[in-house]
Amino acid sequence: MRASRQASDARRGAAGRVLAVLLALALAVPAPAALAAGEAPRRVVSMNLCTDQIAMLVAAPGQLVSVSHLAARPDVSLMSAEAAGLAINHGLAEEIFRLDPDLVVAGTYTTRATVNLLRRLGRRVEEFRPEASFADIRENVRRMGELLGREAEAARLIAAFDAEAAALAAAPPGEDAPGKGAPVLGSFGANSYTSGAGTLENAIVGAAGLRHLGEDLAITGTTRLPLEALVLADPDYVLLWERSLGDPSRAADILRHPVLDARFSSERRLSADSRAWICGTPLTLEAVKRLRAEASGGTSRHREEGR
Amino acid sequence: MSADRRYPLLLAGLGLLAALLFLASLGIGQVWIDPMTLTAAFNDTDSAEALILAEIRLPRALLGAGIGAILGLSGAVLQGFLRNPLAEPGLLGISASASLGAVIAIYAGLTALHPYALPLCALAGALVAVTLVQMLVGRSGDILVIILAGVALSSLAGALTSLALNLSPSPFAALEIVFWMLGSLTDRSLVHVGLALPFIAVGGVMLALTGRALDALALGSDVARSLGVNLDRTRVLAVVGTAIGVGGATAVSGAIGFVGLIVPHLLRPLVGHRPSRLLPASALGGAAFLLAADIAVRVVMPERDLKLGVVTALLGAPFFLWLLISLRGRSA
Amino acid sequence: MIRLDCDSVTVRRGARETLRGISFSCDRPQLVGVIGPNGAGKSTLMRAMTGLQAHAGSIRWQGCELAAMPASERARLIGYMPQERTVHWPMECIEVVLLGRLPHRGGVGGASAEDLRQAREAMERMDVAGFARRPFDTLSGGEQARVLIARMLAQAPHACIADEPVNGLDPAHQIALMQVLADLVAEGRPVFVSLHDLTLASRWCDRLLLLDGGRLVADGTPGEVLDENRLAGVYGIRAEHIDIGGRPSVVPSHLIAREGPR
Repeated sequence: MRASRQASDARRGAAGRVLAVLLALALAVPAPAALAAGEAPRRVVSMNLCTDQIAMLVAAPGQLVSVSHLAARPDVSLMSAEAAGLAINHGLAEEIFRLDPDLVVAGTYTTRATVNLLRRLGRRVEEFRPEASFADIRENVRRMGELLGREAEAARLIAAFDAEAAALAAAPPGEDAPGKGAPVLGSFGANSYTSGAGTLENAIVGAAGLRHLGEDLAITGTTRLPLEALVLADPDYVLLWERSLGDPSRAADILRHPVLDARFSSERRLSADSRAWICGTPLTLEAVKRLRAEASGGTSRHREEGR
Repeated sequence: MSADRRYPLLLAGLGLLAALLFLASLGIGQVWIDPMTLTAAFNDTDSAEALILAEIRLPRALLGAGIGAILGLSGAVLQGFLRNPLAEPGLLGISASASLGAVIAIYAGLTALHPYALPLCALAGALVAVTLVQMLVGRSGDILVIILAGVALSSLAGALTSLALNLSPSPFAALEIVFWMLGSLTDRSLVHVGLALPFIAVGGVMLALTGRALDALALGSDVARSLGVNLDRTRVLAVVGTAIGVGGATAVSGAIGFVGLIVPHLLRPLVGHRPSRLLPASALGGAAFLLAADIAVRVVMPERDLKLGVVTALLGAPFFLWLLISLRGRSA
Repeated sequence: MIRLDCDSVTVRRGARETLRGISFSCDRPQLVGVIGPNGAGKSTLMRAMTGLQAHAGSIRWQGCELAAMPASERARLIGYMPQERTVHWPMECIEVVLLGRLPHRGGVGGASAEDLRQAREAMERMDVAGFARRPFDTLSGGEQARVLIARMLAQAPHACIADEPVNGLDPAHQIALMQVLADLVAEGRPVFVSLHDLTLASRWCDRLLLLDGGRLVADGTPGEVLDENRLAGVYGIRAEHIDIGGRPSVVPSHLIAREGPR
C-alpha cells in the first residue's frame, strides 16, 4: 500500500519534471529579433511563388534569406536563377522557424495552418493577396518595399512598370483597336479551366489588345469551361496552357483533345510562357508583349466562315 | 415457359433502352444545342455542332456504353464465379487497382513510349487484384471475407495511387486522385475510345464464354466438375477477362463503382436467376445504367464536372447497404 | 454392362492419408452402400470415384483410367450428387434439373426439346414435376433432395454416385428415395450410395463397403458385413438383427463402452 503510493508519487514527480522541462523549452524559444520601429527586417523568408519573385526584385542583397521551392523551379518561376542563391523552403513551419526570420511573407492562400503556427511562435507574417490586376501589382510591390524598408527600390520598379505599360497602350496592335471589335481569345488550361473578369489573365489579355472569351461568357474568376462550350463559342484565338510541355498528367490530357486541332487551325492557337502569367509582378508585362506579338502575327487572317 | 419467353423480350427492351440512352447522350451535352441544329450537323460536317457531335459526344457515348457494359458483365460473372452476390469490380478493389496501374503508366512516362501502355498497365493492376481476390475468397463464400478483402485491396490501391500522384512532378497530379477514385467520362476523345474498346471487347468475349460453367457452378464446384465443366478454364476466363475488360475501361474512365453490383441484382429476378442468362442482360443493363448516370452528370451540374462515380455511388451505396441487411436476414 | 475397378486407391491430405489402398470391383448393376463412421473416408471415396479427387492408385471405369478420361465423357458416364444440397441462386427447379443436361449439349446453344423432355421425365419420376416453376429455395429439404436427384437422372448417367442423399429426410422420403435408387439399379446401372443409417443400408443395399480410418475393412452382402464383431469393432455398437420382408436388417441398439481410443 505504502510502497505503491510512493511509486505513484514518484511517477507524479517525474511527470511534473517533464512538464517543467517542456515549459522551459517553450519559453526558451528564441524571441523574435526585436525590431526597433522603422528598422528594416534583416532576415526575410518568403513562402509563396509570387511573394518570392516580388521580394527578390525589391529586397536588398542579403536581406532575403529563403524563398519557396517553386521559385527555384525553372518551369514555373521567371527568377529561378536568382532563387538558386537562396535557401529553399517548402512552406513547412518547422523549416521556416529554423531559418529564424524576422519577417515572413506569404500568400493569402498559403497553408493557413503554417501561417497560424508561425504567428503563435511569435513570428511576424505578412500576407499578400494574389494580384488580379495591374493595380494589384503596383500595390503589392509598394507594400513589399514598405515592409522591407526598400521604398525607393519599389518606387523605381513601379515607375518603370508604369512607363512600359503606357508605351504598350500607346501602340495598339495591328488594325484592331482594343474594345468591341478586338479579336476574342479563349484560354483553356488543364482540367478545362478558363478565366474571366477579375483575373490577372483577363488583365493581360486586355492589355495585349484582345478580348477575353471568359468576359464575353460572363465568367468571373477562374472556373471550368466545358470543351463543348469552347468549340461552340469559337473564339478567334485559343491559348492552350501547358499543351506544349508534354505534362504527363490526365488533367493536361484535355489540351491534346483532337477536337481542338480540328476546330482551331494552328494560326489560331497562341502559345504563351505561363511563368509570366502565374504571378502578377513587374515581369508580367513580358506576357503582354509576347501575346501581342503572337496575335499580330495572325491578325491579317480573314475569318473564313461568316457567323 | 414464362421466363423463357420473357427473356428475349427483356434483352430487346434493355437493348432498346441502351440505344435510346445512347442517342440521348449524343443529344444532351454540357451545352444545350437545338436538336434541329444537331441533326443539320450531319450534312455540314465542318460546323462546330458537327465537331462537338463527332469528337466530343460520340466518344463519350461510346465509352459510356462500352464501360457500362463491361462493368455490368464483369459484376455478373464475378458473382456467378465466386457465388457471392457482393462480388463486383468496384467493391473488390479491382477497379481501384486498375486505376493504380493507369496512374503509374501516366506518371512514370510509360504512356509517352506507347499509348497502349495505359490500358496494359491498368490491366496488370486489375489482374493482380482479381487474382488476389480470387485466392482470398475463392473457397469461402463468406460475405464478410469478400467485403474485407475488397476493403483491404481498395484502400491499398487508393493509398498507392495517392503516393504515385504525390511523387509525380506534374502540378496537377495531386488533384487527380478524385478522378481515379471516382471516375469520369468528361471530354474523353476518340483516342480514348481506341484505347479502351479493343480491351473491353476482348474481355467481354472471354467473360461471355463463362456462361454455361457459371450455371453449373450454381450447384457447387464438385457438381460443376462432375458435369464436365473445366473449372481451371473458367477461372482463367473470369479472372483474365475481368482484368482485360475492367483494366481497359478504368484506364480511360477511372474507377467507377457499383455498376457491377446494382445492375446484375436488379436483373437477376427477371432472368430467372440463371447466371448465364444474366450475362447479356447485365451487359446491356450496365450500358444503359452508365449512359443514364453520365447524362445525369451533365444535366444536373453541367459546369461543375460532377464525377460519374459520385452518381453511381449515391445510387449504389444505399443499395449495397440494403443488400447487406437482406443477406444477413436470409442467413440468420 | 458397366464395370468399375478400384485398385489401391490412396488419397493424401497433407501428411494424413484419408484413403488407404482401397481395392474393389463392381461388374454388375448393384446398389452398393458405402458405410462407415464419421471421417472413415466415405465422401473422399465417392469424390475419387467421380473423378473429383486426385489420388494414387487406379480407378478404371469400363477399363479406362478415370484420370485420363475427357471431362465430357466422364460427365455422361457418371452422375454425382454431393452431400450438401446447395443451389446458390434461387433458380426455378426446371432450370436446376436442366443443368443435368449440360454434358449432352454441344456448342453454345440453349436447352433442346430433347433436353426438356428428359428433364421433365426425370422430374415426373421423382414426383417433383409440379415444382417445375417454383424457385428452388422455396422447397422443403425433402423436395430439394428429390429435385437434385432428378437433376442427376436428367444427366442420363450409366452409373450413379450419391453422397448421403437421405440426410435430413423424413422416413417416408428416405424410403421413397431408396426405392428410386433401387429402380435405377433395376434398369441396369450400378449405384453407389453412402449411408449413415445401417437399417436402410442393410434393408436396401445389395452390397456394402465398410470403411474405417480410410481402409476398406469389409466388402460383401449386408449379412456378411454387418456382423456383431464388425459393428462392435468399427462403430462400437451392438445391434438387433431383424427380418424385414425377407431381408435381414440391422437396427443399432446399444453403445459398447470401449477401452481407450481406437
